[in-house]
Amino acid sequence: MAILASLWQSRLYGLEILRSLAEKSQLEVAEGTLYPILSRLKAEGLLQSEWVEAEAGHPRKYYWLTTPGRRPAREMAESWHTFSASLADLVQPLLGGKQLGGKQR
Amino acid sequence: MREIRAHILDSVSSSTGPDVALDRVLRLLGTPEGLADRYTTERLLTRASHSFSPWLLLRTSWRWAKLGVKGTITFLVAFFGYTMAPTLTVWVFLKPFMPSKIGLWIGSEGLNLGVEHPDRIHELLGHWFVPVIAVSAFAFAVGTTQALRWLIRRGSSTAAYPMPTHDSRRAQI
Repeated sequence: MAILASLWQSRLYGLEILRSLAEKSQLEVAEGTLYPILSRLKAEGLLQSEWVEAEAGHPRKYYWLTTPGRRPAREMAESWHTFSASLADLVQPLLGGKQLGGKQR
Repeated sequence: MREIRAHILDSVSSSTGPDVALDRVLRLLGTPEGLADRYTTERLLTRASHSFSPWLLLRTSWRWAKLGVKGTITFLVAFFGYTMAPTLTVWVFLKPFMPSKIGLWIGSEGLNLGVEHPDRIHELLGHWFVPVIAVSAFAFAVGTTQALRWLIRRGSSTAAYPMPTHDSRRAQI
């Protein structure tokens, strides 16, 4: 879900996906994990890719969400949102009135 | 291969310490065997999610079981279902040869499927044993296959792998 979300708005290559996940979500995806998952998501039709000659001198493989891939990405995000909201309600008493994100009530 | 190579080149070229970055990226990619294993597992998950082959589903769920809880649960479902189906089938084939000795018994132990025993007092199915148990075996086989396809399709979209190293901190590239 995290990988699909990182590709929601832009085309990215592998290292950019890892950096996007780390910067926006603090999610550290193992580099050896990412490429097999990208390969499977592409085989399932959720992603598409192409090799682009880069200024760096070597080509890079850019990925983007396909139209059929957007629906399952959205469904996963909605499921996650529902789950995390219910979990936030559960742990609220433990935070002693402090809302998630550091704001005091 | 080409993609992994490009990733290594990108990681090294974007760092101020190429030697350190090279060591780190190779460590985080894991061993070639480990990386190949992950590619193989992902390919099996894709194939299995669209397959009706019990052998492929069982093999895939076994590989997936090594990765975490979802895979373990899937494998247990596969093991249970694909054990019950042939077991019930064996009883169906044995019944004509030992009609009074094999059945669905009720007794002091409760309900039991199998051979007659002093604690098993009354046989429940009679002539209906073969069709009922045959249909049950078929239902177990088909139901297990469908359940595995659903579990693999649903669960593998969020499949995660253990980190190849213990380094979970952001790299100082």
